[in-house]
Amino acid sequence: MPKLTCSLELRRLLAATALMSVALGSNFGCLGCAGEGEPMTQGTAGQGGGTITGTGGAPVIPLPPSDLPAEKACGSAGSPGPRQLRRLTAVEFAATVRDLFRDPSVPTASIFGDQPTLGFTVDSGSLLIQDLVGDALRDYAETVATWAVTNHLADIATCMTMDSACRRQVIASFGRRAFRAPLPAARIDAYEALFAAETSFAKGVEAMVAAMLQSPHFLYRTELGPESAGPGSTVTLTPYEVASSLSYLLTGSMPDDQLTQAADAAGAAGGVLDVDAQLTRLLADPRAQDAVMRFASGWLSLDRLAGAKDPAYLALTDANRADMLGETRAFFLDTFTTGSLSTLLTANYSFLNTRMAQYYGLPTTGLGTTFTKVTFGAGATRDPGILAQGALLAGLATARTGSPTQRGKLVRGRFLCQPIPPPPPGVDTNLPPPAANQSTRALYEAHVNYANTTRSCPGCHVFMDRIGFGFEHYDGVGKYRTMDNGQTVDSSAVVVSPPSGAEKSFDGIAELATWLAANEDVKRCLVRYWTYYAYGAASWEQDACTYNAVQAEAAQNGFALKNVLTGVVHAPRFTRRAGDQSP
Amino acid sequence: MKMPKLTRRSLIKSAGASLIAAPFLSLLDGKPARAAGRVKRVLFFCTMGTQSELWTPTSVSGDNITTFSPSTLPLAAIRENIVLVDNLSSGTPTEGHGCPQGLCGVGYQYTSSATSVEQFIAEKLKAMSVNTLIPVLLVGDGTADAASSNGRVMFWRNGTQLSTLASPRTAFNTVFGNFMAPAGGGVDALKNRRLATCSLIEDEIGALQGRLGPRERDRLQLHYQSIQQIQARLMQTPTMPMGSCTVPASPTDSSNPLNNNRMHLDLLVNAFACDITRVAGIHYGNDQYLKVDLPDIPLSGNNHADFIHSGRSESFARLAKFEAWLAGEFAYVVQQLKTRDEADGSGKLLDNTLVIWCRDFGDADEHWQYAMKFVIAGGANKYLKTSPMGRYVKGSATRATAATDPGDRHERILLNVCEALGITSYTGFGDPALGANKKPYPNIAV
Repeated sequence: MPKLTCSLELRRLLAATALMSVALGSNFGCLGCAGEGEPMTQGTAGQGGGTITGTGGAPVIPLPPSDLPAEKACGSAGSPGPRQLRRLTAVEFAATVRDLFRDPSVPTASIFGDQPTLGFTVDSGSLLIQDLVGDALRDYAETVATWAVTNHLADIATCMTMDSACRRQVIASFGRRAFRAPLPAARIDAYEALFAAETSFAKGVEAMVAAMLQSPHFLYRTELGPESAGPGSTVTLTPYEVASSLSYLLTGSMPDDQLTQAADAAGAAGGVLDVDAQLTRLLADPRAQDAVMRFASGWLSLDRLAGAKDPAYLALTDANRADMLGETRAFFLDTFTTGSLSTLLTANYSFLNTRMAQYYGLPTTGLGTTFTKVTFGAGATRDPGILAQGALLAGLATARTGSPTQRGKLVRGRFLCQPIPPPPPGVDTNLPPPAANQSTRALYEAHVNYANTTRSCPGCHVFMDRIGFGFEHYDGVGKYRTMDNGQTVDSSAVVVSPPSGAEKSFDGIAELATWLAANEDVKRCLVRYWTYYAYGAASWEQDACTYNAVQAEAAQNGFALKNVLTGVVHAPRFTRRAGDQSP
Repeated sequence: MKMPKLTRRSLIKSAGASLIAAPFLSLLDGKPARAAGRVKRVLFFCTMGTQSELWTPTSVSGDNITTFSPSTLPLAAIRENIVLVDNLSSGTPTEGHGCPQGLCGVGYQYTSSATSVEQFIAEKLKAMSVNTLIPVLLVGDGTADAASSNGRVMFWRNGTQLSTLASPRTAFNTVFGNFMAPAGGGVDALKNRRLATCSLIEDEIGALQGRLGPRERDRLQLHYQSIQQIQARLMQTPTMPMGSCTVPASPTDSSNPLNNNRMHLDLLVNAFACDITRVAGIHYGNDQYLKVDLPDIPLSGNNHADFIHSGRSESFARLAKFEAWLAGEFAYVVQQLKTRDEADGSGKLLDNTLVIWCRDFGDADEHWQYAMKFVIAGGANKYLKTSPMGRYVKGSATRATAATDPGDRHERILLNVCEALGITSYTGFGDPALGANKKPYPNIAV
């Protein structure tokens, strides 16, 4: 995607002048503050992250990207991408411990304070273990080990004698599941030494479990190929690695017994894992819904819905928020199962319960507490598609008004993959409340003053706000309106400088959604974000090869959402790697 | 279980050959790690911002506080030990949430290199051969609360946010776990198991690193160093505490983050008393969310959305109540430090400690970093210039004049803390463009 540059000359002028009051957001509803909600790390925007030099011999850790980096062209030979190591996310960690012991009552702990990157907490470069996190893991591992021996010793150990054969059997069996791959003999040796040093079988198991939960083989997923493969190798990932990748992508947890057995069979035969057989089965797993929604939530910034509202201007209860999320979840999952990107954007229906229908001012006939498909009739005060749903509209808002900036920024960044640079340092992003009889549109037009090119703010805001004005029929809590603070709503808008083609004028969400649904750049952007979520990496050499493969598969079925995900799984990167990520 | 105090003689008699590693000999000789400055230790008490109208003393005489505001009234209990500092500006006072200015002194422009002052101090102390078992102890519940995935804390190192220990029990085990005998087993057995586990994990990490490219190798090296730190503490820790340091009872985690943070405060005092750390920080929630449940007041809600941002219409009544509660917690930890003896019998812990209340915003409702506020507590006039009434030091920064004169910078108070600990070179911390004002703020130190 061609990168937007927001009048750099004007931004330099801004930096050289005093502080400038620009209405970009609000002093309330902090997740609704313009430019916030995602890290505003200047200097790394779109660059795939800078690097920081360690101090005193410390490791050099690249910073996570603040925007999706530009694609790297696919060479004639192609490349599946580099090998990598991925720490379990906090969600994956908790789910894996639970599933390892097959017991939801396993003790839990808050250990990882991972920062989101690009709206997700999946970036392999950001998921670190450092400082006292090692202590927190040790403490938790010991707690779980004690609990496991008390509650599940017979499940962990099929023999209970302190002879070497039994010890090794227990280590191999439990370790196979904990490490998601068979243990080589040397690894069994190491754990047996730990086990044998204890004074009883139970204590030996306790020591073994505690150690395994702290092991890098538990805490990280390898995408490195066979253990014999050294740095820089070109590899086919092992069946166990592929099984793990598949399971964590689709369920957020370790491989289940069936997948484990399939990996074992493939491993024993020296072959590859039959991904498709498992793919279909796991997509039907109820946990797949949560996994899909984790992607949707990050892609569409649904966490912004938690932002505060000023009760003097807007009312949004926690029940409203829950209903909105329920609607969007039901809609997104239904679309994932049966629909396409076009459906997501242009479907003339949603999933509502009584309360949500009342909130929207729609008929409640036949509705109850569960979310039921509701087709919008003629004259319905609701636009089609996900962009018109409350979960997005209320989140892409300030505490007092809707935010053309945030709404436009979402479209620009998440659908067109044209990230907007953060404001220059020191810019005042506080928005005054609207004056009497002043519409939101008028408020923004007055403050940004798009026509005044001597100011740097219009240079960026024209790319966001001009799209966002198309949402003006919806207030800051997602309710439809024809009047705004005494003024007739004007939802005329324009997509200035799209990735390709001429700028697009439109009026209202429906027209925007229709244009987005037919836009090849939008399809590519969705591929970019879903591959980032799936692979935990935003950029690598020749990454366009992977995007091309995913997009090709999705296109075969009218860009069904499910086929974007299956395309990720079928791309060469899912099963092969070449070389290592450059620093 | 409270451990008894032991004399050096009885410890050596009972310990045996497995006990003492060289770095610990200095403690056995009654010589604590060398103090670098006028105070030995610092505690950063970190919360969200507040509102000036709630915080500013109601009346002052000169720089003496004659009347505290209602939300800071609990500080009156420790007034002879405190200095309130107001109206200092960050370098980028209108940058909003997540801006690292609070403890880093830099804004978004320098996020990639942001390092908070407690990390800077720890590195400097290490370079000055002031070593403790835990270089920096960061605690606080609710910092990674799932209610707000975008929440940030004020602790950074080289552009990366740092985690806090959320669970008081985990924090206790990190600080004192090596002193405690497990049920049915001796301390030595547990220590030996832990050491063996550390070795095993280090071997695994090393083997894995051999398969990785440089970028992945470096990431794993951070993990390796974390394990090494555990190992070092295990090697240096005796089987029993000694001196005037006693091991407190192991806490039981609460479902209420504020209760957990009270337990963290107790732990920090004990960690200071045992000289296990000299640099500590406690964080209340994150910049987006802190669950408040105080039935005794009563008060409940989210400090951010419900008190700070939905409070203007009620003149911030709920925020004022919560701020008063926080002030009570700050006073509590200071009072604890006032009553506990130094391990070497040289006085009270507070005599050699600074406790500093830091925030991410000055005016939180407006997201402004003008009028950044601190409460600094210390004792015995070793560094902090105090008065019997409590002092109020007011800088010159105001929003009205910021366009032409940003006024005094809040970073300078962070440099005061450095200076108190004997650190006089500030290169590598904070705003590189601070220029001639890259020095501690005046009228803070004796």
